[in-house]
Amino acid sequence: MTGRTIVITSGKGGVGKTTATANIGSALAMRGNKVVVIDTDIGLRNLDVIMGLENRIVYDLVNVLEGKCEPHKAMIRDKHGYELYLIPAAQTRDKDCINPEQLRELCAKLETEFDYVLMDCPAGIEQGFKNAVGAATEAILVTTPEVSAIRDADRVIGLLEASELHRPRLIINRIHPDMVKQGNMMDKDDIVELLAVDVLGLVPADDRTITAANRGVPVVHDKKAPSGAAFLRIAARVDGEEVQFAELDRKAGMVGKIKELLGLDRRAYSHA
Amino acid sequence: MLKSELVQVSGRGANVEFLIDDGAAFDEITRGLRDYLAEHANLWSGGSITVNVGRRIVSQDQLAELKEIFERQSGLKVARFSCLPESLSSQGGDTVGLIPPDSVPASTGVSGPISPRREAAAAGKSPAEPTRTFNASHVDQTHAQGTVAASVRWDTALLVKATCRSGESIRHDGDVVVLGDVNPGAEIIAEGDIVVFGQLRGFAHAGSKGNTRSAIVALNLDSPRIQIGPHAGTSAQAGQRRKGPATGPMIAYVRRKGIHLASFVGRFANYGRGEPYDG
Repeated sequence: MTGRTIVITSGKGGVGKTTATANIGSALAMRGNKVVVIDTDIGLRNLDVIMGLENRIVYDLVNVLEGKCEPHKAMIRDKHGYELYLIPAAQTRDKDCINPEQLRELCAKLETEFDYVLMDCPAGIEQGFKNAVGAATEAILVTTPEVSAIRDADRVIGLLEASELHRPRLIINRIHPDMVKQGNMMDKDDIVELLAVDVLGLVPADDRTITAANRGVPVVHDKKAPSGAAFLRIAARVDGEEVQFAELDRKAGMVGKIKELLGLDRRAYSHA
Repeated sequence: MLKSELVQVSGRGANVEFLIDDGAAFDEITRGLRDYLAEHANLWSGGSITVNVGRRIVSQDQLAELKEIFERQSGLKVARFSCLPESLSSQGGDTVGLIPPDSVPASTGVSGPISPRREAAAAGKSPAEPTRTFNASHVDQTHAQGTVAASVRWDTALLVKATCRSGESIRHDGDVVVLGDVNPGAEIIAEGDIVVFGQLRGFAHAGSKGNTRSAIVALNLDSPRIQIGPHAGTSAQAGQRRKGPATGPMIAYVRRKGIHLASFVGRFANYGRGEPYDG
């Protein structure tokens, strides 16, 4: 098996890298893939919390890279019964205690066994970023429709290209369709015009994402959440499937209701 | 892959260039280069060379690594790096020490002739031959760059076929033409004119050595700060998205010690009625 190693990065903090990693990882596993997610944010680990696996951690990424334990010993299996495993970050160490070569070696080993190796990249463009990006063969970029996040994303695209990770794909997170309609928020086209990259998916702002994260259950498991549906579509695209971009507007009218009842709306994709 | 495909050596007169394959992974290159130099160890004894990295985007660390390999494994001295202009880029906020072909040397050393061993006795004694030979061919002129690095190269424009992204810095001692956008946070610093076939949203400095007759032209000039020679212009309105038709190509030029903006009707047209570019 030759898996794909994908880094999920953004530059700016707080745009939803960890949430995206947990959800894309879960969604890929739900589609029948064997997936391992690695938290490379050493010293500020979060992914385990979002996935609700915090209290099962015994070994961590640094233990594995230092050769103190086998990768399998550090892997925690997801609660939902899919082939999804987490290698958590060390909380008591820092980013300088590992290097990109060690991480690349680990990923190469994991690629022989898993379909997908997803890496949650730390914010910033320092050592932690270099570690994760140096080990990856593909990149997904997360941004929000805010000028500051887009500026950082632009910088990161430049850095990714310098590390020979060409054509990163973009997820625009936390879109408020109402604000876009009123012209108070940048829409997809504005962002794409500036960044000049392919869009992998659009995720609407959704309170259920926050609730889900607090509960430790990625939002893709919530069948009613529009953001969960968006992440399912993103995972399908990562998996190589052609999926139409859904309108993010809430279908409040009669037509929308009927479509929803007939299963013609975006949720139809959750079974794809 | 054959090692000879990774490294190609070409010589034009006294100017010897190592062309590094730009498709292979960087560690493959370093390995291939080491092998190549080890294999041909008896061919070189001294002298300076140019290393051409092609379209590859290299970091400063990688350049240093290449230089070290050359200088440790052979007696060669890397006098300059060059690249194809479209790959001119940077990493980590620093300008990478890259130059377009036929431009200024990366280090100050004047490149001497390379000396295959059989000529070593003759060439070794005169490592840096006099190089002020402008009357000769283009190659000789290139060779002479070491001594005239400060002069503006009006005969070469740098063509950048890429989006200039935040944190990237492009510096050139002639004109710069960008086929793409210059995004916020990117900077272009040219001793000549700057022409952007796209949106100029980053910082542009034309006539960086003080030439106030330089100009900045862009299809959409929407930069919060531009500079021509010593004169700077700022625009508070820049960067605010304007829905509707674009402004059309604009030219920024210096008039009465300030930067003025006008609709572009030709580089050498007489511009007198532009608007001051100061917000």
